[in-house]
Amino acid sequence: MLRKEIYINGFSSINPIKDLDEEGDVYRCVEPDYKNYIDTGSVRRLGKIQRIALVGAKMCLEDANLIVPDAIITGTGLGCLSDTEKFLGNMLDEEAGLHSPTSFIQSTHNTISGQIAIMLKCHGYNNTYSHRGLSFERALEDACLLVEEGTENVLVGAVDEIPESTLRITQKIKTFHSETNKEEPVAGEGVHYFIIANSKLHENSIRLLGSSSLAEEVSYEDVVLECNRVLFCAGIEPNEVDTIVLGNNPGLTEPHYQQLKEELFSHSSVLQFKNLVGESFTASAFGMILACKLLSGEVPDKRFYLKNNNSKAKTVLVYNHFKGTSHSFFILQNV
Amino acid sequence: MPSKVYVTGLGIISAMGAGVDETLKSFSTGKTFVRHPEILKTLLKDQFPLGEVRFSNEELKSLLQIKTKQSYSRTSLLALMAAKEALSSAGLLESPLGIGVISGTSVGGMDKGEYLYDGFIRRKGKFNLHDAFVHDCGDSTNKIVEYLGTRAYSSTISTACSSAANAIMLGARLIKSGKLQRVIAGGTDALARFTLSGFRSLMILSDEHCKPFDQHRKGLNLGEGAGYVVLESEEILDKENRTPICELSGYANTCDAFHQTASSADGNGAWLAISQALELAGLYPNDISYINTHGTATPNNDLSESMAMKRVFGEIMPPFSSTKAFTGHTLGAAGGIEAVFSALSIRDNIVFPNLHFQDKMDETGLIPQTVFENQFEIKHVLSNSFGFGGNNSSLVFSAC
Repeated sequence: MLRKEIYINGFSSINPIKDLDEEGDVYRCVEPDYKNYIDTGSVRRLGKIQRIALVGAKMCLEDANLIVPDAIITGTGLGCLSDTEKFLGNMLDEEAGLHSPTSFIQSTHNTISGQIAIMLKCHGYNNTYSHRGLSFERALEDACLLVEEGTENVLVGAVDEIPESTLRITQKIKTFHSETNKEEPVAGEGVHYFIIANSKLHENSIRLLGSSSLAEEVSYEDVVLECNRVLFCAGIEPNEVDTIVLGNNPGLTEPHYQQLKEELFSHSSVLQFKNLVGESFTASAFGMILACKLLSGEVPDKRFYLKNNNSKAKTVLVYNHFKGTSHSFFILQNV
Repeated sequence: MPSKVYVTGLGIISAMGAGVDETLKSFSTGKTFVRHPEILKTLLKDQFPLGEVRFSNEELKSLLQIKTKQSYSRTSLLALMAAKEALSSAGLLESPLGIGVISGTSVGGMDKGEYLYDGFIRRKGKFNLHDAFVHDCGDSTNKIVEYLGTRAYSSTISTACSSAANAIMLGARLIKSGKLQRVIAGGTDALARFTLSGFRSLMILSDEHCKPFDQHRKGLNLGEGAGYVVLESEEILDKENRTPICELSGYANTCDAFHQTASSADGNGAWLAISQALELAGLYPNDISYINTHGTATPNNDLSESMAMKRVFGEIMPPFSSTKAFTGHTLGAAGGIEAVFSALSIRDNIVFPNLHFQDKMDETGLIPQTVFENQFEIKHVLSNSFGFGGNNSSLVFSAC
């Protein structure tokens, strides 16, 4: 339950979406035009995902007409893996050797929030959550708690990458899709940021009415119960939800999505997104991005739509889970 | 008026031993527990002394009565030891339902992950594919939830050396906002070759016992361990008529925003964190009875932290010490382990000594507490945890 009014005054997303449908084992981020946003010289040593995160942060701040936020929070399921893999490789090659520290420094999870703070010279609250499929949700909750406590603007987001070795391991343990194992979701990367604020930026600002999560594997009844509870706390009837955004992976048998769509939200437009951005511990953040785009009047790519009522989105529910656990709900509305 | 937050349980495991009682006995020896490792298999073992926990993974599993074949990283085994003790000391082991678990870690399951990577990717050595499931930071938190049976809110923070302090701060904020009544909060980290090699590459490891705040300090000794506190709301303690150990009266999280691995020379982020934590606690600098510093014994941290302390406390510096000379730098666990020390400081009126100090720093002239002291009443303790990436966190504990 949110005690204060929480606004989303800006958002940005750097993700794998391309004009042509992606194929293959992994959806990697389309790299942005760095030089428009950051001093490429000073960040040339940073890993790819960190540079992308700096751009994502800048884009989001621009969207919100802000120069510096009061706090920075990032959620990341697996952290900065490229640098981790690199330093690990060096260390294992020659354990007693003295290696370059750069990739070790950049392997720590809090590098992203830390580098954003350095870039912006932001001395405010700075945190990083790494709680598996609820990493973004925990980051968002903290951002909302900060706003409740009196903070004005929080830059909060989600970052996950999946470099080669990690991909191979996660494919082997059947977390993600591979040629020999097509019953699993395709891995995807993403950098998504939001400005969560205590007051609206302009007349068409988006409000975050509610959010909730369930960590465990739960029954459909539990999902419905929680969904109804979040809607109730937000003061919304299920039939007021004109659009739902679902985290289903196309072609896979997954619990709850279909049933929820048909039984509780048969009246709503339905969008999916993992067909274009893939799956990760923080994929739900893109669900929220899509909701924000809809509420800002953007007409999303038709590949997102499972069912289009052609009505203007006013109240959007996002529902996501990660392979049956880490369920989350977000309810957004335009003001 | 937001509820006060109280500390009602403590749990700890480090090179100094398992549990509060053993740790206090170890403090009374006045000797460091940092020594060359016997459990961590590393080619660097003769070069660097470490604060290694004296139990092997098998011994920890045995103590925890874990019989399953499920993968457990060393990080999670250490977490379970300390979290269990914390809950038990609060008298809540038999009624864990609904208690939030907030844990900090920087290493996660890398102690297992580095072998998996070597074996599966590089085809060198044995590996267990199931270890892939315990690599991420959230795993050790989930293991705590599972083992203690809390079946409630849980979260994992990873902000390097301030992870546990941030976890404790979040726990307090969630209680004050009414979202939770009880929380186990702290952090855990195990030694791994990855981390040892990493800190070595930064050239901030000492090949001798570390000397915090000494003019001739050469760097830190890496350590491992876990430390958790149980936090409860004023409301629930009143209702159940229970007495807490102390109050968590203040906290702050700020960012130095200077450099990924170095703190600003004037300790800007640290100064902000200390000042804001005191402000929240409603205290003046001279109310602080003892400062448990971050004090890693790196040239950079100790100078930066000293400058920040001087800016806040001026000429009237409270007794201060770094307990890292006893335990080593336990990274993600440090804030939790040192929260336990801070609570014990209040409970038993102790000021812990700063080992190996000989010469004061030229820039500051500050002299830490060098002997164990328990003659004075400890009213308020400041605990600092300053992590890489400029993550500065300070906690204030108060007698009640």
